[in-house]
Amino acid sequence: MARTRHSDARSRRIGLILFAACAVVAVPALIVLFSMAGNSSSPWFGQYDAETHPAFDFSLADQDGKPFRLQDLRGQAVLLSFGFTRCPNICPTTLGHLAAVYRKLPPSAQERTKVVFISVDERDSPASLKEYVPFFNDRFIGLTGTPADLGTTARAYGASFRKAPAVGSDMGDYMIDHSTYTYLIDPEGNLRVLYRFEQLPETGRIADDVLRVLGTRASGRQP
Amino acid sequence: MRRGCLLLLLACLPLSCKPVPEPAAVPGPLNGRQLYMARCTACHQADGSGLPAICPPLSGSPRLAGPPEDLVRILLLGMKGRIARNGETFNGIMPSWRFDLTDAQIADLTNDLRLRWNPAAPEVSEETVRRIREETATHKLFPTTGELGLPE
Repeated sequence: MARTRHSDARSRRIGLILFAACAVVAVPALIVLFSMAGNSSSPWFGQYDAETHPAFDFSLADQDGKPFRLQDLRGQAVLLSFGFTRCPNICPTTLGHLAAVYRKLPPSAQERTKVVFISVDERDSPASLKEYVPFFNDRFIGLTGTPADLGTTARAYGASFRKAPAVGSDMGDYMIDHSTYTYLIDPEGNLRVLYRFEQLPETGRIADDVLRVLGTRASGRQP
Repeated sequence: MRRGCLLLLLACLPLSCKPVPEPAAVPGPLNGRQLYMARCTACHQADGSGLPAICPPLSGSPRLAGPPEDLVRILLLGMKGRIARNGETFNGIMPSWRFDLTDAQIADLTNDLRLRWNPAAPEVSEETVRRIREETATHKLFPTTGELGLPE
């Protein structure tokens, strides 16, 4: 028994260190990559990447349980975020802001823009996403998948997540700590702009970035 | 040395949904108005007009009148589902702020909301928020109006 506890504690410690290492390496690496590519005179509100980096073409399931690939959205701008439907604060706030961005786009641009929310919580099913996503906008897309596919997808975007003990209110057995970046992918499928959570209230400026990647707003640096 | 390395790693962890101690969660003591502008306007709008079919207007909200318990519970637990107002139905979700905001900030936010949209309502104290926070410590997040005991 003591040996099992020791082994569990060791596994948890290794897990914590691996998670922290991923967070320390992957997220800052993505930021540095974007920072190096941009410059201070950039007209972009988010961290813009002038280099061409194809966004990872994930293959997950949508809120109707149908297979969904990023490639299906070629020709459209994509605002992508990671989270989970039981998230008390970050996820509903993020999606609320992205809904506001979407509303600020003219109808022709809305037709060419998709907001995609990937749940990294294995408790979330297509059915729970189908209830959750329309709270913000019924055109938003909620995705889920196997733990392996979700892990691969999150790592490919430098996103990190892990289970954490539930505290206080009834949130189920656990909650999830996760990174909070939002990604803007251009119609050619390239990862172009990265937003920090704190930037999201600037919905008009994010909408301007979306129009730029769609090529409907003048920019000195068209993608 | 090992402890120092661990602290460094922990300091680099990303912003997340994890309930974190107050000083790390909010950079600086935002007042009620600033909190409203930063956290509420995506849905409620700066003028409190709300969003068609999703978020009802704050003006005329019964939650901004009378005893503050219902409003403070909603701020702490969040809320989801249908709300009817003046013949219109709204169906949205509101975040829970119990892990982010202190009792003083929720009191300040509540008072700002009431000052703007129902100035006759009495002021809400930090102690009142603390009491309601304790009473709802194990309550389910995102209750519906029915689960909150409110009329739809």
